[in-house]
Amino acid sequence: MNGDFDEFVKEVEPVLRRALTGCMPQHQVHDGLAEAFTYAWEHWDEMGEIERPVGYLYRVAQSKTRSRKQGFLPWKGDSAIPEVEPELMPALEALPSSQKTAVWLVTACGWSQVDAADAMGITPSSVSTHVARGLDAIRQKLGASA
Amino acid sequence: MTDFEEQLRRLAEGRAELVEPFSADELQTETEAETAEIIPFSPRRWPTAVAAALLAIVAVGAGAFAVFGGPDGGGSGEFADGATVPSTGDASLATTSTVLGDLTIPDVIGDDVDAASEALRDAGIEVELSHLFVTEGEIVGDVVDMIPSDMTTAEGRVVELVVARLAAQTLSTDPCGRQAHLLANFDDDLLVDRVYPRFTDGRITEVEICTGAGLRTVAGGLDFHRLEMATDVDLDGLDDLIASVDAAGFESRVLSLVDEEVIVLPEVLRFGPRGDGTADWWGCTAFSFGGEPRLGVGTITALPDGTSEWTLTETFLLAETDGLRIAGGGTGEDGQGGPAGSARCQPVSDPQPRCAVSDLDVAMLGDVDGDGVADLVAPRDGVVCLGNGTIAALGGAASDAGTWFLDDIDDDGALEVFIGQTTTGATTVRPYSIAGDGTVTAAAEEDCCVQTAPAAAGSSAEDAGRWFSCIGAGVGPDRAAELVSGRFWIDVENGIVEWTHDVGAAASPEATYRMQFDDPTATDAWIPGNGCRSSVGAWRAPAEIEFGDDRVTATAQSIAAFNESISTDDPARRVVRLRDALGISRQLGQSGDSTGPYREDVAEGFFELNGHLDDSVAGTRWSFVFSDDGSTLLSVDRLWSCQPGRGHEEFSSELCA
Repeated sequence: MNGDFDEFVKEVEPVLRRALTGCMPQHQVHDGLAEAFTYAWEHWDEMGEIERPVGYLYRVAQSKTRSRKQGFLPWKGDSAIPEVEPELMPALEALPSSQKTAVWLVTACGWSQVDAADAMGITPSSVSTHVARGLDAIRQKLGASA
Repeated sequence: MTDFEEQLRRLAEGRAELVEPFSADELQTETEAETAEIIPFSPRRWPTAVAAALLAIVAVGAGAFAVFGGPDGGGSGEFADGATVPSTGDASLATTSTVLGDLTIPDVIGDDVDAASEALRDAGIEVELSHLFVTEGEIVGDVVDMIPSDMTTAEGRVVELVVARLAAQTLSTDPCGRQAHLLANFDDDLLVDRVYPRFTDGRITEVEICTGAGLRTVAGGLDFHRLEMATDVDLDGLDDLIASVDAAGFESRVLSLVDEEVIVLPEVLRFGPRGDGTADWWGCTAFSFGGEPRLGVGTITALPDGTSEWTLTETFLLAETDGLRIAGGGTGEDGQGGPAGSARCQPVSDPQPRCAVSDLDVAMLGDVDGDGVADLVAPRDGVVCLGNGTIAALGGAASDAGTWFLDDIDDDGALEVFIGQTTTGATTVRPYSIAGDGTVTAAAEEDCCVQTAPAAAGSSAEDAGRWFSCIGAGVGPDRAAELVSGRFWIDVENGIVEWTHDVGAAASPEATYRMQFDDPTATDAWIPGNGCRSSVGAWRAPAEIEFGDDRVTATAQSIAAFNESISTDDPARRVVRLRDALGISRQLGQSGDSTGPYREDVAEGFFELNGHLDDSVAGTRWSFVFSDDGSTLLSVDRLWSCQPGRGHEEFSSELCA
């Protein structure tokens, strides 16, 4: 391993780990990270040419782990996370997958719409639409106001 | 920011803390410990060095074998027996390279993994679809040993062929001293068995088989033109031989080896030219892989050098063991085949051909009369060949064969046949119900789905999708709602499907709307009132549908989620899925880039066989992962579910106890 790669992992790993928690079972996230960074290492020369490597590796992790269960899934540890409305997770889970992913990446993980669009393979405007619709649906379900 | 958005952030942060962080050091350890080498492996070239290296490996791992001739020295991919290794496209198997199924790779590699790895890499062999991972003592093919031989895809067949060749090169260092005509598994002893025909006056009169027990003559008094293939016809888990009676292959018979005796099954498989002047056949046989009968349909093309190529174009899973069998050949005056006719189908239990099918490429199997026996739907001929021998004529309804699809719209256990008819400016998709006596009942006009001509592009780039409108009303007892008009579009680029339309006054969220895209491979339907399931396999992502007061919006979901939502206990549906999987996979090799994991969101389809008659393994699932546009098969996995008490009962890659 070279120093550049180590730095790359340190920078990208927390962002990627957080994003993957929204689309994989808990026990698969670490495997997804391993798959993504293995790929990054094997293609290290090409990684420098990728404009948004996080989004790229997000998709690598998903395609390499190939979990049959996709999308936002309940985790056993969810209930231990403080100050989260219990109905929030079911509301998020009930969203269509594109909305769910967009809301998770943009709202929960703080990704830009451009990054999320790259990870989802759609346009930023579509991400914007999905986020708006998703949040609106959650808002209605939770009875919250905008 | 609203409070729940902040809660979402806390949720993501909290979850991230539940996962052990990953470090670069861990990657280094994993790489060194688990993957000894990644071998690029390609069917395109097959230099002499590879064979030499592999033979050297065999010598290390398996002792002193005689040396097989090996490929030519030019690296053209041609082997000593004249067969060539196809590169891309719709590859086919030469008869002398019968797929071996699950290869016992350690037999090939032996103990000298490093030498094998080095030799293959130095030879510049590359795999397009996947890689072979050499671990301790074996090659674990991410794809290679996971595609069942009778479910070969175009690309899979290429890979399998190469692996079969690998084995042929190494294992054909034959303990019986000759190059085998066919390789097979007759005794399930994990050793490849070899078949040699013995000729008298140009006819095969004896067959010798070399097994782990040695060489023996297992058949005498036979009279065949050629040994065609080895595959499991009688579903006992062991290969049988298919031998053709004459050069045209009008009649082929199955030689089943039972207790070291050869039984020539009374059942006759018929093949024959289709009358177009070329020596291609439609053939059929029943395959077994996991306990359920299947039907493979394909073409066999005779080559100038006297060999033939078998191209499997379709594989169907029969709903019942007493299903249909498709036989090739024409419907000549004798009714038994000839040069001028077409392929035929017939019930297994009835040797008399029942039904002419001119184009098996578009034929479908499914239970349309609800009797539990698969029926053959032949769009090009406008008929449905019922499993009970009756022929239902839909000729008057036939238009574009590509618009036909099957679906049980009314949940009565019998599939309806949907047929598109194009009139001026619109295509009407109409369901037909077929009774066991062949009676055809067409749905009323108002029950049809109407697809209009594409509309003008909209204002955004995403409007490049296709526009349709769909009218559906009163289909089935609970479908009183009416969708007056509307339109939707498909963004082919990213697989997103969205559609909006106005809903008539009588509409309700429980209404059933049906639609069919103009692309037959994208045929799909939604029944939102019944769990939002899609009952016709589609490789475009099916939609999750939201109903508003005046708007219906559908958004794509993953194929995996789609598959999750479909009942897997309905054989007819599995037929559809499998068929679509193969249909897509035939596009493989035409894609310029099929390597690497960076893809549009992947789509996953799977095919399951459950109820294995095995005390350990209960079910097998092959999982196909495609790129989202369906154009590229990314990988194939095989998973198992175990019998109670024998391990995991969910599907997993872990072996059962």
